[in-house]
Parts: sequence; C-alpha cells; structure tokens
Amino acid sequence: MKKFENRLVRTSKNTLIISKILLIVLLFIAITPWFFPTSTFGEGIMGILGVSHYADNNFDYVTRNFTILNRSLGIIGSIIGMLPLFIGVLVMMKLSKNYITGEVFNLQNIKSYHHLGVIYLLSAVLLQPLSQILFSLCATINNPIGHRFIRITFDLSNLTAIFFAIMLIIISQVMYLGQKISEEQELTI
Amino acid sequence: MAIIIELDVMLAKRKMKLQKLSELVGITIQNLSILKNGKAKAIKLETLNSICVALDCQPGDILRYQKI
Repeated sequence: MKKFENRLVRTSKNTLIISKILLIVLLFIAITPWFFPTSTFGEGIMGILGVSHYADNNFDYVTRNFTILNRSLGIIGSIIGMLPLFIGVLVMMKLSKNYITGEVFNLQNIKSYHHLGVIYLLSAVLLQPLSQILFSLCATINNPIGHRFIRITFDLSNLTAIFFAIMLIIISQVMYLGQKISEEQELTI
Repeated sequence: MAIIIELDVMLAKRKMKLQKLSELVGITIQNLSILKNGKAKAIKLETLNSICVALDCQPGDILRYQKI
C-alpha cells in the first residue's frame, strides 16, 4: 500500500511540474501567433489550431492582410477553444497538490473530477464548435462579399470528447460512492 | 438517527471509565468516543458482544430506539 502511495506522490510531483510548463505553453500558443501571423511560428500554430483550413486561397495572403478584427476573432476563438484545457491543467495542479499532501479520496477532489467532466462535455458540444466558427470567420472575413463564411463543425473528435467527458462524470460518481463507503467503513466500530 | 447509544449511561451505572472499557474491549478510545457520541454509522456484532461482556449487560441496555 505504501509503495502505491509513494508512486502516486511521485507521479503527482511530476504532473505538477508538467502542468506548470503546459500552462505557460498554452498561454503562449493561445495569444502570441495572433501578434505575429505572418511568421512561420504564427502560421504553424494557426495550422495546429485549424485556422488555415478555412482559407480558400493562399494562407500567406490571408495572414498578410490580417486586421485588428481578424486578430481579435482569432484570440477569442483560441481562448474559447483552449479554455477547457486551461481549466483541466489548473484542476490537475490542484489535484496533484492534494495527492502530494495525502488527500486522495476527499469530496473536493471528487467534485473537481465531476466539474472537469461537465466542462469537457460543454466544450465538446458548445465551445469547440464556437471556436471553429470564430476561426472560420477570422480566416474569411477579409474575403470579398460572397466568399465569407462561418463553418460549424461537429466531427469524430467532438464525439470522442463527449464520450470521455461522460466517462469522467461516471468515474467521479463512482469515486463519490467509494468515498461514502470509505466514510461508512471509518465510522463502523 | 432514531437509534440512541446509551453507552455513557451504562458506564456511569458500572462506575467505569472509557479508558478502562477501551482496554477491556480492545478498541481505541477514539472509536469508543465516536460510538458514545452517536457519530458511528454502524457497530459490529463482535464489538457489541465485547462491550456487553465488559459491562455485563444486554445490547438493549446500550442501544435504544427513539421515534422521531
């Protein structure tokens, strides 16, 4: 038992370090490309975010003509899209800190898992499609009239996210039940 | 809960301290306090048996049902 506890503490310490790095990287990825859209870095990140898929002509031409409106739409879109990941990393940090101090099956951790599941479910159903709408608008708003469009996408990645979010909610409910049983066990004399 | 634990009454009747009962029964004083204060969710028959032996009483002397 002690061996597994030590392993959990060690993993949590590593996760805490990775989460801190990830938080900085995510903030960097969400904001910086929109200030340097013509650079290779900016275009690369926009490619990862999926903005370049919406440009029907040369993406270089699109980024060269980026206005404040394009950048604003892009920043809002990337923040909305990455919001669940930000929250996920913050929750992971909180959980890791609790695990390091030995608080494993407390109600606070279970609530964190449940909230995370709900946030990911909302993200898959609402935030990700909304983020893609903003990205499509960002990439095409400078096009001539008739060539501007917004695109709502709902694909396999959204379905996968919904599946994992529901699984997270179920796991949190099972953990809640486990916590209740453990509490009952502790109060059985 | 409708079940009232009257361990303190029996202890007073037998003029016994919780510490002494703890030693006789073989469970910690903290757990006995939980039981005495009515915070326990369940009691094992084995524990109830040990308490009844130590206090020379019936389970009904320790547990009482009160309608809410």
